Order: sequence, then structure tokens, then C-alpha cells
Amino acid sequence: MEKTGRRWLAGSAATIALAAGGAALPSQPLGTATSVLLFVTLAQSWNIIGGFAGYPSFGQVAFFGVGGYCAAVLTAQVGFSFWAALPASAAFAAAFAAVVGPPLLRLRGNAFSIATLGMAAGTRELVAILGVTGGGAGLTVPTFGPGPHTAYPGALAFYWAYLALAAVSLAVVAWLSASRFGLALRAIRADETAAESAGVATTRTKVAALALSALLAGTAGALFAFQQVVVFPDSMFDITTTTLMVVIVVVGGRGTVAGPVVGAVVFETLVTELHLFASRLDPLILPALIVVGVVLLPDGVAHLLPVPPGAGRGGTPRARPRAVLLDAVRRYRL
Amino acid sequence: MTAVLEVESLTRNFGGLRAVDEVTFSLRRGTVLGLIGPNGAGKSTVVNLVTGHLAPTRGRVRVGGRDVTGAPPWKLVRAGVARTFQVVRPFEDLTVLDNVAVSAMYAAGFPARAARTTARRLLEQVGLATRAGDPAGQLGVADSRRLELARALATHPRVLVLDEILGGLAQREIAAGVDLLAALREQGIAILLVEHHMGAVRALCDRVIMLERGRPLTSGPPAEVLSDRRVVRAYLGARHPGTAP
Amino acid sequence: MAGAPSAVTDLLQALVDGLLEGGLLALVAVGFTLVWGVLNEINLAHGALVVLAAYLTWELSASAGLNPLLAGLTAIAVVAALGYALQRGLLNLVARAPVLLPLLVTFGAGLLLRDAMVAAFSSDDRTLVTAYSLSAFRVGGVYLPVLRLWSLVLAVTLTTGVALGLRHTRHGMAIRAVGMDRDAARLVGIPVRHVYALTFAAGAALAGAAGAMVAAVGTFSPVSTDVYTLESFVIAVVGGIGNTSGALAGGLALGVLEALAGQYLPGELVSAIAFAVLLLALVLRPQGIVGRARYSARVDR
Repeated sequence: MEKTGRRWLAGSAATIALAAGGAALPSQPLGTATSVLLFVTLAQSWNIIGGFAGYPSFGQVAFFGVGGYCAAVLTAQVGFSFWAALPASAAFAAAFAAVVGPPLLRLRGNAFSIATLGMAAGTRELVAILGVTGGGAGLTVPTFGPGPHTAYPGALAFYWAYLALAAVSLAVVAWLSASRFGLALRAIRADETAAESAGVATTRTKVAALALSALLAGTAGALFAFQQVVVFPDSMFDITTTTLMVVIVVVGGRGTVAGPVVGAVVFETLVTELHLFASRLDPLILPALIVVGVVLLPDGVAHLLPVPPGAGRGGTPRARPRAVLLDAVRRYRL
Repeated sequence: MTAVLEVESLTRNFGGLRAVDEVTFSLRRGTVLGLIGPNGAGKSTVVNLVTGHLAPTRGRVRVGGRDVTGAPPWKLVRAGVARTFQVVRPFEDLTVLDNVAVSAMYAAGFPARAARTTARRLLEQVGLATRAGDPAGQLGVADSRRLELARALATHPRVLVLDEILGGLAQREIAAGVDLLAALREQGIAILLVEHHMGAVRALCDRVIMLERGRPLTSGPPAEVLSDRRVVRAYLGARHPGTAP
Repeated sequence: MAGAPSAVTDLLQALVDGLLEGGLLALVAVGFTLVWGVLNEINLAHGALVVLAAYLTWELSASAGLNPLLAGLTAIAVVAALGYALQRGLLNLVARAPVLLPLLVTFGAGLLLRDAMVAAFSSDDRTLVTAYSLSAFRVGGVYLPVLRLWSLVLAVTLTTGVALGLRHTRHGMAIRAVGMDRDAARLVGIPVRHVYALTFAAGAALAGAAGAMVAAVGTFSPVSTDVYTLESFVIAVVGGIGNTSGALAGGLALGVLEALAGQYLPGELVSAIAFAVLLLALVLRPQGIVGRARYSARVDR
């Protein structure tokens, strides 16, 4: 597995390097590249709990939002610098996941998906009525003025920050894929009862996975809050963010290292670039991509590659991509 | 010599139904206890109670003298009680090797590399070495049972609880299975053998408990229990008196 | 009106309003719970189908001048056909995949329908006004709108009808068989793909009936889609997944609860009621509060 793992890492790094070329680009493509990098992180966050552990969270945006709001509150209300607030927000998001995780992770499948969706909506409502978060009126991260503030670093700096975070996320998931912890998560996904019989403390392991995924999403949320300067409940807890995370990983390849990277590049580029041809039908693009992508690529593009990811050492090489594609579609068809 | 597994007045109700009623036994190192009885007698419930998959309504379970009643499966397996499943439950998309390695890592506490080495050795022992790299979902019935056993052995068990591990196997495979289990007994592992195959029970068990409707009907050495008229009747029904198994 | 009698009347009015609204909610939810129970699919496009039927009814009667009853029936037929196509053409392709995939497909389809409706009809609220829109009884101090009474009657009739149909008709038995074990059903010669699509179409037709009723008694807009889906989900969980009479009980209960909350709680808490019930139900009793899940295996993966 080390060998395949390294190959994946190299492939993914190359993909990111391609994205990194965006640094030389004018502002519109730079914006797209930045958004791609944000979604690499968010997709990997979802991949940990939804891909490796097989718990399809539909509330992942809650951790993004909690991280973002934590950063905003710490900078605006407590007087932290943004760079001090960043790790604190990541930790807070992970702690939040560790608290809401145990009851949610008792559920499985559809019930888990919908309960997490409810958790995210509930969190948004809570943020919208609390005083410290500024409620529905939003909260401003101080970027200038006489009081404590952190100067706004500009678009290119955010591009680099998201790039660094994406690289960290990729490294975390690459490590996970080869580690004991990752193996335990895949065992849980395959058969939770059998995993428990193999000595895996399933509840603890699942909560740890959720917290790790929240750590990544929370960090991304904090960066996003700073990038936006003003945060609102509706912008930080947007259901579309969760949807994109899920779809990117599904279409890229659940439980693989490179799949979510490829998915994020393809999906975010498609979505943002197609939006340029703005029309009344604009909002239909994303849902149409979701439906078509999921039906045609149920196992994701990563499975079209010659060596199936996650097959471990000694995995048998697969047939031609087209055969694999049809194979996946055939396997799930009624 | 003290018992590695002691079960005392084990009782479990499902609603109004008493699935297991006052079952008591103890199991020593290197011995095999057979648990037999017709379908629905409560054998699998006993397995689930002893391995932590169900909590008993009443009664105690002790492993090596330590009370583990109501502990979750992962704690029990770490304490030395491993099981196989009657309906096999492989981690289908993991390789055969990794299926076994999970147990070696989490139940026996080996680091990743040592766990894979152990897993390889166990696959050799159960005769699955050539399939190590295949996804476990591709194994047939007999190989899936071997995998179940290898996975249980990788936990480094003191007690093996085998739920119809020989079920659905051909005669030749059963003979191989019996030899394998006899070798494990020689290594000092205690075995709770839930089995329908009476030849295997006779060959392996030191003692046998016969369950009927959750209660121990009779117990003793296999030769004695298997020729008990009540046992014969319970298995074959009252209309076939005197037909020995 | 003031003083003690008015407080009692208010309470009674809230209860009656809740029951009447609950009838409508039950009608919205019964198709959803049927699809979930039989196909193990959470149809996140359900609310969109309800609202689509409402728009079709509205367009056909208010704009095209069709008799409202005929308009409603046409809308039901169209939505049912759409449901059949959706299951047969898309959802059947991922029917054996982990539940996440069908969930995503229905989510995408619902979003597509909703945004298409926004594009086609804008997002303003609409109400269908007919000659009998405003007629009502008064019993004591309590006001009983006729159309809403009819919607409750329709809900009870259809829910009972579905339950009886599932039990006694050929198609009903095929649907139940598929819900219990689709592979065994296929072995005994049931055309599983067709029955899947048929079940989804039945769920969509019920959504259509609810939508036609919504057009007649209330206001609607594309924004309502998510609310209807959420409420269906809550009712299905509370009433027992796949349990149609449970859906009726759950719908009435939720209607009364929301009406009472509307009467006595601050506004922003009312919308949280459904969510609160849902989270409690899922965490405490995933198998349903009022009823038992019809297909208990469905609660898991």
C-alpha cells in the first residue's frame, strides 16, 4: 500500500501544482482556483467521515460555520488577532464535533444523513439568535481601525493560504489511508459489528473521525470568514456548501486520496466557469451536475484509474476504464 | 487450574420470550465445550451474550476471573474472547490480509507492520495465504469461514467462540476444520463450539451442553449426551424414537 | 371578545386549525413514507413534487380556466408520470448503491425542480381563489373553513385507501413484496423495476393530491418545497417508516403541535418545532414514535 499511496500522493500533488499555476492568473481565474482549493479541503473533510468511515454526513457545513463564527467572534468580540484565532477556531470546531458526534453517530445511513442535516440547520438557527454572533445582522472581522485588528492580506494571500490548507488536508488523508486508524474506519464502513468484534472501539473511532473532519472544515471556515470579512448565518451555514462537499467526493471517489482533489477541480471549475454564462437557467447547473454525476459515476472517477484505490497491496489491476465505468453502473442498477 | 471463561446463571429475555434461561458453565484452557440444540434453542443468543453483542438480563460473565458482564464486544475481545459469525461478515472491500490485520492491530495491539506479519502467518495456518491480496468479498463459503477463523485468531484469544464455523461445508472441508481446531486446542486455547455437525462435536469436545428452549437440558461427555434419549428426541422429534444420530 | 370564554375559544380554534392543517400535512407525508418504507429511498424531491402539482393546478384553473377539480386531477396525473420517469430513468440506476447515492439524486432532482419553478413562476406566494374558497361553518365560536374540512376528508380517505390497496390489490401485494425482499420478489416473477417505478409514481401521485389541495386551501411558492419535505420526514419518522396510518396520526399530531405553538410561543420558535421533534425522534427512537416501522430492516443502512 505504501507504493500505491505514494503514487496517489504524487498524482494529487501534480493536480494541485496545476491549480497552483493560478497564481500567475488574473483575478477571475484566481478566484476560481482559490475556490477549488477551498473545496479540496472541504471535500477531504467530508471524505474522512463520509468516504472512509461510511457515515454520509449532510451537516458538514456546521463545522465550517462554527469554525468561521468562532474566528469572527474571537477577533471581533474578544480582540484576538486572526492568526491566533485560526487554531483556536479549528480546535473549537473539532470539540463541537466531539460533543454532537456521539448521539448522531448512533444512527446509520439515511437517518444519519438527515439528522446531521438537522444538526446543521439547528446550529445555524442558534447562531442567528445568539447575541455574541451578531444574530442575523452578521458580524464583521476587524481588518482596520484603531482597535485590535488584522490587516486584510488580499486575494493572492488567500490563494496561498487555501493552497497550504489543501496540501495539509491531502497529507492528512494520505496518512489516514495508510494508517491503522484509516483501516479501522474502513472496517467500520464495511461491517460495524464485525469491526467491534475485531477489537475496534467503534464509537470512539467514529467520533475521532468526525472531529478530525471538523478540524479541517473548521480551519477552512475560519479562513473563509476572514476572506469574506462580514459573516452571516446564511453564508457560513449554506446547505449548498455541504452538497458540494458530498458531490465532489462521490463523483471523485469515496474513500480515496486523490478522488476528492480531482472532483473539486472538475466540479468547482465547471460550476464557477459555467456561471459566467449567466442566464435565468444558471441555478439549474449545479443540480443537473449532481444528478448526472452521481448516476454516471457512482464510484467516482478514481475508480476508473488502472489500479483501484484502497485495494491495498497485491490488489489485482483492473480492466479498461470504460469497462470499469459500465461495471460500476451495472453493479448498482436495479 | 482456574477457568478462563465462567458463565453463571446467564439469562436473557426478548420481550416476553426467555431466549436463554439460567445457563451456567465454565471453560478451562485447552478444552472444548460443545453447545448443541435444535434451531431456536438459544445457542446464538448465548454466543452474543458471552461476546458482548447482547447484554444479559441476569447473570454474570467472567474472563480470567474478571467480571466483564455487559462490556461491549471490543472490550471483551481485548480481554481475550474472540468469536466467529454464523453468517460470515467479512470486510468485503478490504483485502483478505487487511481483514485479519485489523484484528491483530486493534484486539491484539500489534503495530501495523507486525500486525500484517501476524496476519500472513495466520492466513498460512488456515490455508488462505494465496488469497491474501484479494478483496474479501470475493471469497467462497469455505474460504470465508477460514477468514472468520483467522480473524478471530488474530485477536490473540484465550477463548474462541465458534458459531457454526463448519456449517455448510463439504465433508472433506469439515475434516480439515476439525484438525485445525484440534491443533488450536493443543495450543491451549479454550473453545466454545456451537455446532450442528455431531461428528465434529464428538471428535473435539470434552464436554457438551444441550440447550432446549433456552435451558440446559443435559450436559456431560459427548458420548453420553449424544446418546441421551431426550437429546435424540429434541433433534428428531418424538416420532422417531431410538434413531441415534 | 375578551375574558375567559375567548381564551377557551382560542384554544379550540387552535386545535381545530391544527387538526385541519394536520390533515393536509398527513396527505403531504403519506406518499413520502410509502416510498421510504418500500424502496428505502428518502425522496428529497417530495416537497418539490407537491409544489409542482400546486402550480399546475393553479395554472390550469386560474390561467387556462379549467374546472379546479379537473385541473387538480390533471396535475396529479402529470406529477405521477414524472415520478414514474424519475424512478425508472434515474433512481433505478443507483437502487443497489449505498443509500447516500439515491439520496443525492433525489436531492439534485428536487433542487432542479425547485429552481426551475422559480425560473418559470418566480418566487412570489400564490393563492387560488374560487367561488367556494371562503365558505365556512361556525360552530360555537369556532370557525371551520369548508375546503380545509374537505382536505382532511381527502387525507383520511386516501391514507385509508392506500393502506387497503397495499393489502388487497395485486399491485399492492407486489409493492409490499418488493419492500420486504426485492430479490425474492424478482424470483417469484414480480417485475421489480416496474414496481419500483410504480411505487414512486404512487408516492408522487399522493404528493400531487396534496399539492392540488394546497393550491385550493393555502398559499404556496417554490420556497415551500423544503418545508414540505422536512415535515414529511418528521411525520414519517414519528409515524413509523412506511406506515401509512402512522403518517395520518403523525400528520395530525404535528399539525396540532404547530398550531398550538403558533398560538402560545414566540414566532421564531414555531419553525423549529418540526426540527426539534425530528431530532428527538431520531435520537430516542429511530424506529418511530407512534407506529412501528413497516419494514424494520429499513431503519439501518
